[in-house]
Amino acid sequence: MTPSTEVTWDEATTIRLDEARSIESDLSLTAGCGDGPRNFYLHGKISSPKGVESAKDIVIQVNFLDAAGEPCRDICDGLILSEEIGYFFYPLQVARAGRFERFFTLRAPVASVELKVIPWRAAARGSHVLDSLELQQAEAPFAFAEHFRQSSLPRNSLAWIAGQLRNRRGPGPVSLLDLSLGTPVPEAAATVLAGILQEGDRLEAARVDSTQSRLDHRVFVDGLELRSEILSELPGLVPGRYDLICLHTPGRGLNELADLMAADLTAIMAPGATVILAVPEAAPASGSFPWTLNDFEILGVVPIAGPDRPDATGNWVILRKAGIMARLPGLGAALYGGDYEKAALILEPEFTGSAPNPLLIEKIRPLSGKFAELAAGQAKQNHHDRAAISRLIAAELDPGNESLACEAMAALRVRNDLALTERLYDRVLKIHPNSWGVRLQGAFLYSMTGRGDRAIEILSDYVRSIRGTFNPSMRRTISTIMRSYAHECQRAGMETDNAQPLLVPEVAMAYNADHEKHAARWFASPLTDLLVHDARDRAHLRARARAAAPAPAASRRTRMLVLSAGSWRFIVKQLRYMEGQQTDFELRSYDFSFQEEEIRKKNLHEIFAPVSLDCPPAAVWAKACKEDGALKRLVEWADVIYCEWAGLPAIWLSRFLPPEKRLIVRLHSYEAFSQWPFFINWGGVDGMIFVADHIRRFADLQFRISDHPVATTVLPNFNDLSAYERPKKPGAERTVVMLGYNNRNKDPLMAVKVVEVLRRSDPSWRLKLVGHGWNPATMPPEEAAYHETFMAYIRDNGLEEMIEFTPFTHDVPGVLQEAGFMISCSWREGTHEAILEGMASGAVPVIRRWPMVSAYGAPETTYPELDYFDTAEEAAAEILGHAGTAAFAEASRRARDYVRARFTQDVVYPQFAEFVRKTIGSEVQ
Amino acid sequence: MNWIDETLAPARSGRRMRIFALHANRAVLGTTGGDMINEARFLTSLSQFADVYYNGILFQPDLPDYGLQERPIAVPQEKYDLYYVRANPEIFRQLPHPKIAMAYPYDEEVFRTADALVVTTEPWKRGLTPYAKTNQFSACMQHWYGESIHPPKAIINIKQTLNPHFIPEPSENELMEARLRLTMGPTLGYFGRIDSNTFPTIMLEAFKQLVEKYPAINLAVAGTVRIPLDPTILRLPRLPHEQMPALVSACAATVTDEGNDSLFLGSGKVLESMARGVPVIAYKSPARVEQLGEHYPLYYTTDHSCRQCIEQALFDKDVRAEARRHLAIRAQHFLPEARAREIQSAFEELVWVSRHGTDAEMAGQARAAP
Repeated sequence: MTPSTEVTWDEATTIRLDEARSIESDLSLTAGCGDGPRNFYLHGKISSPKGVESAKDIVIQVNFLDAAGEPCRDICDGLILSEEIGYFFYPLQVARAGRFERFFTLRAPVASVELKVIPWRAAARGSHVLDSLELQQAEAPFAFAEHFRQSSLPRNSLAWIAGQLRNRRGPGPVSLLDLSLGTPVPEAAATVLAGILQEGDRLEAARVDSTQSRLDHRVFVDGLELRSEILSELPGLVPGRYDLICLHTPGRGLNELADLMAADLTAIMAPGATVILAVPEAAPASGSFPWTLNDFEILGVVPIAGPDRPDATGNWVILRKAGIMARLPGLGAALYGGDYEKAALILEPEFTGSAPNPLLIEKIRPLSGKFAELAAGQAKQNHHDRAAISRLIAAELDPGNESLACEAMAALRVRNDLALTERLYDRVLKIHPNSWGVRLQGAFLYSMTGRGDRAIEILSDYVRSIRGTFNPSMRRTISTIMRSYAHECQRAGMETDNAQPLLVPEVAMAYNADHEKHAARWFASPLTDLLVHDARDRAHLRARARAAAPAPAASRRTRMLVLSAGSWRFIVKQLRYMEGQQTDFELRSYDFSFQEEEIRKKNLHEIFAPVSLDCPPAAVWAKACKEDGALKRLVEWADVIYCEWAGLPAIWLSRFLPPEKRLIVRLHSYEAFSQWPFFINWGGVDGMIFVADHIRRFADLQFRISDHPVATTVLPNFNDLSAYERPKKPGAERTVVMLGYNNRNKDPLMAVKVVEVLRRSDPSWRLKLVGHGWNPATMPPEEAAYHETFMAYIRDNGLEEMIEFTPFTHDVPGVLQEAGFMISCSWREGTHEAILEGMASGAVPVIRRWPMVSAYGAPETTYPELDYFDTAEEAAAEILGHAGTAAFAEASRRARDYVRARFTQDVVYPQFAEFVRKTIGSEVQ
Repeated sequence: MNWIDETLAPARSGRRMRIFALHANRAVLGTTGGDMINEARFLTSLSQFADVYYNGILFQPDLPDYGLQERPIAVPQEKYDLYYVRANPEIFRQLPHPKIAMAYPYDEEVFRTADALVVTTEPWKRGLTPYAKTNQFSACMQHWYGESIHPPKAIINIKQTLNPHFIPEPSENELMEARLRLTMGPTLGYFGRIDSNTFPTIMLEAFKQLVEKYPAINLAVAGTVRIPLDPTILRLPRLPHEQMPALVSACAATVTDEGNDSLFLGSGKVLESMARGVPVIAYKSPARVEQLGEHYPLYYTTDHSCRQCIEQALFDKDVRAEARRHLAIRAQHFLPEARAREIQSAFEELVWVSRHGTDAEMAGQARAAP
């Protein structure tokens, strides 16, 4: 090995061999590196006067040395690695006309690089001449360049430019144009470009001043002035010729030049040219891109490296005109500056439109990860809408990434962007047809778009396919889709966003038109079968547990734990009565509100997914007890748990209470129109109390409670109605009262029409509407529309005088002293307590056949043996039938007697106590 | 207005005082959050003798949101008799005199320029006069005031005001509903923000020992929870403020803060319980003694004395009656009317002195006159 003394190396650690050397023996060149760049471009020329015997005649060995001079292994990409000599390549193997080049990259810093040119075969010694050898180091300085490293980023500007030109042009010479504007030392760029020329290539340089000098291989166009700024008019420039145009413009801004290029340069560019401009510029200090590039896109930013530029601190900013990115103004600059949030905003229309441009996708594909990172950050800041778009972009850029696709679909779904979700789903499903992650996203999508049966089909397949255990995340998925399906079953093919679709009159009427069919749909689902099996299993378990449990002492009162999630209003009177009357029940209570909040936040999967999918009740109960000592103590104390409302707490208790505990649930009215009871484990319920028989029938139709061993009964609310027994005030016999009126369900407009009919014969009739008025600020659209109709009817018919609005008051008995007739015009009611209160006051009941529930026996089963109406005329006739003094007095007396006999708490309590006793069994007193 | 009215303090002229008030950067005062509730109560007291303009809008205690509206926080252009600002030094700096500020948070310029600082307890006031290492009352305030403070010109102890919303008896149904939230069992209630600085840990330990003996008793908490809670505690969700009187009434006793801050800060919990006549089991501190009196029967300082207090508060009728008697007496002192009278006197004096100087200064001026 002969240490080279001819070699020079500069501060940029570039190794250069200037003079030709015959390769007689090993030639060694060394350069220090420190923590500098890690991308290397090695090129040179070998002449072989005797010809080349073998491409492996010559080896160039590249040693990377640490500070101690020891070779570093497993550190480089781009070279061959041999155990014997380390990293190397055969220059003659890659040479064209003797010129060779090699790129390589280090994965970690090294102290120095050593090159050895070795005649590998003995016969090769002295047969070859090394004309030149140069090792250049290059590092793209900006984040932007970093992102393109894996695709088109040049590792070295010269090599990259050369490669671009050759690739584009194919065999044959290329033409370069070097335009320098207003600079006295314009040679640098042209000199550098000259280094990549091969024989036959052409470089033209034009100057705007007179200081240009001639290089051997350049063709100058003398004496040019770029005054007109119309480049195509420059004499000597050939339209359509130039593959690369270099502007060296320290005196003028890039924006200005970009404008020029947009106007003129296309004329002189070669057809299909991709690279048209390389501009030496100082690096922006902040890494942000300071220029507006108009119609140009940035292809890369690389340092100017060249032997004639010892002060080469600038960069080539390499632009391309009219690329796909140029269609999106600001995108290049945003990406260049690493501002992906801005880039996402610019890209949003492209990606949310009909379909993103494939060329654009191809161009920015390597940035997929960056958009995924952006999305994660946005989601963390609760900017979920923005995150959804970023996820979409990330997924579209990397469709093979299943995880990105699923995240994007989920985010878009939450954003309610279902069309986009579906587009992405269709595309991704083709790539990952067997991915459960993707298919479940489809199930979510179907469940949100009225295709619940398809969603359930996917979900059922999924459940069947799982061989291991179901974790909470999987159960959450199942929960969401099942709950959505329950909603769809209740919608009866109608469209509504109402969480309780059956409360919408149009939906209810559609449902009732074929209620058997609609109710059957839920039970046709294989997942509903799981719920049914869960119920059977639990019923068996509880029967065994009950048989094994010791009977409570017969001498003590029944311990009843009353439970509600904060809504105690309808049971307060009952419990006050039971406590005050020293009944057979010892009472405790538990407010489930906090638990409910926690379940909603963390454990909804316990509520809506079948427990047989790895949600063992004993474990859930043990966990609850560990977190809530009060619940544990109270349930252990109780003989029976009485759950007020058939909502979330009822589901939880029916599933997870210790099996020996009895559970009675009271279903009021709204729950029957909700999805909650679909998920109650009926095997965990001993008794159901309904407030009205038509509610019981409707609930049974939907939830098939009677398929399970659940005792049911109908019991009115507890009412102390004695406070209402007051004398009527004058004028009451001509007053129709509606208590609670401010919504469409109560249909006060019908009451107006009833009184309007009454006034045709006697203008002293009036309507008194009592309660909270409408609040326009909080009304949903359908309520607002009803309110408008109501007010317009009154206004248009001049009925203001006959209607008295009375604000909400706690003194209902006082108000009812003015009530001669108590009217109920509702579409749907459970019991309509106001009617009871009115009758207790002596007001005559006037009750509509509540249309939404009349198919199930309302209101006759709740208020038997009364008159009912369907139209305003019928109601008016009914009222007039009781309007005479004697007739009114008699009807008023009958109303009071009716209520006393059926609805007072003294009447209701024995029925309640009897039901509880029977339900929980005879061993408890 | 003639020159006499102009010269005399408002009360001496028979005119109602006009006070500008502002709390931090809040354009309106909400009804949740201890600070804002206390602030609203204080302004309610002021409203009894003065027209209070909160951020320039008349504060009306009986209206929803106190009649306040969102509008930009700004230095008032109109003239007021007195300016009161809490936690907004930027605005405070630009106000004319006489001006007063809450003595927390500490801001040197506020302390230097305020004509008086406002505190809510006597221990707090004593800790600031002077604020020194040799003053035992100062020790517990070091995390607020650091090594030293600029000595205030004057300090007014406004004390806390009992919320009149808690005085009427809840209805039977409201009371029953509250009892249902509390399991219908004997319950100790701790209502308000729950964090490690104030949570009554001695009380919790004592309760945990007693619950084994009396399984039906509860320690219930409601409010914003910032620390992990022991599973023996009965947790309630955040409840609307209007439901709190019934909830307090449904408790057998209430519990107050422990910890450093309880040594010198007042407690709204104590006053609310006082208003409802529900015994308070209180960690004994100077601030609590100021509220409940020296001879109140349900103080504790140790685990043992706390257990005793709990048993007495839950099961000893005589002690409960005695506690209620003390509460009834002390409540008179914290009623809005009583507080208003004292604050009015202090504020009028401040305004008078601000215009005329102290009596001594006036006497000096008189002597100097020819």
